[in-house]
Amino acid sequence: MSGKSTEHSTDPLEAAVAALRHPAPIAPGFAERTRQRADHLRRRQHWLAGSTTLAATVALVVVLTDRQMVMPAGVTFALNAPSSTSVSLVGDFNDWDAEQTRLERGTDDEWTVTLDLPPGRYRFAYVTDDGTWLPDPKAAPTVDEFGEPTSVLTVPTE
Amino acid sequence: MTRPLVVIVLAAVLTATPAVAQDAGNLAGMGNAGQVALTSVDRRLVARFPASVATRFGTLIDSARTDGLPTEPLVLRALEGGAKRVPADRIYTALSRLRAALSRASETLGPSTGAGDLTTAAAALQTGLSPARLIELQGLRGAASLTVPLGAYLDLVARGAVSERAWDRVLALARRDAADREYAAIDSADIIARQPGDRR
Repeated sequence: MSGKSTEHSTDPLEAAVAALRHPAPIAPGFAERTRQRADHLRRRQHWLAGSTTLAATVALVVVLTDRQMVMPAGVTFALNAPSSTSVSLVGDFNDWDAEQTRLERGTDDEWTVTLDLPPGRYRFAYVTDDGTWLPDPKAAPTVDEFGEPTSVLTVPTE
Repeated sequence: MTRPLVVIVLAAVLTATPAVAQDAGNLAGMGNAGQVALTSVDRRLVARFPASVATRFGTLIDSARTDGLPTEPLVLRALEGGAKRVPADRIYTALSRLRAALSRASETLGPSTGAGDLTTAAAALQTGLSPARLIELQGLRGAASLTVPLGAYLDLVARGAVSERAWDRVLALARRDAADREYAAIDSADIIARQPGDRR
């Protein structure tokens, strides 16, 4: 390795090495611009995080608000049937399955059950222990092409 | 992510969410767990009917699905017939009629109408309400569901009201954008009561 000064060297490699040994010139204000750029990027990150949170919050509120419109309503079905030993409720809300919804007997021989039903229109009827089909005395009757008493109920959206 | 992109994503979230919720609402309006995905034949039909009967019903229901009609009302009507121990042929006839009514309701109200509204509209058509009146009500209600006003009309007629008078009462509420509870509060006795000059 030569000990002579590289400033005077004509070797391109040595000239390049010598150039690298000099501190690189930094433009005036570079540090300040770098700091400002970092601050800008940080603010954008915060803005993005805030926007995402806001969007998620708004979306959640919209979903919950909309769901309130289709929230099930507690509907009480009641039938006075003193001579029955069991009463079932069958309808569009339980696949017309007499095993699914049994009414409970009250002290006044009134059989009742309360179901949470979403808004909509439902056909239904009561079936007693002896297989008799009964309509709801308070609900509107509906056309029954199958020949059994059938009632209909509309659960409103509000 | 650039600011415009974030705005687009936010807008998409806000736009899509009510649409999804509306679909859920329409299905909820059908009651009982909403639209059930059928494979070849609905499992509930398979459980309640002999295989040949379930397949026959399933074929009819499949054709309704192919036409874009809601299938849950048909499944429920079949289950209702089965619970009432009605012969399969009579159930099939009832399903065919209901399918035709659903098709007419869909043609009248449009294919994007919710299952609950279509089912109630089909019931109204089956009782003799004209498609023109359905369209009139739809125009007054805008995006609001038709189930409650049509249900109120059907209930009044079922209780013995003259259909013209029942329809006028329902339409009057629709014209002033009445709340759903007002339809339920229509006094059927008031409509059914014989008026001077009535010929009933």
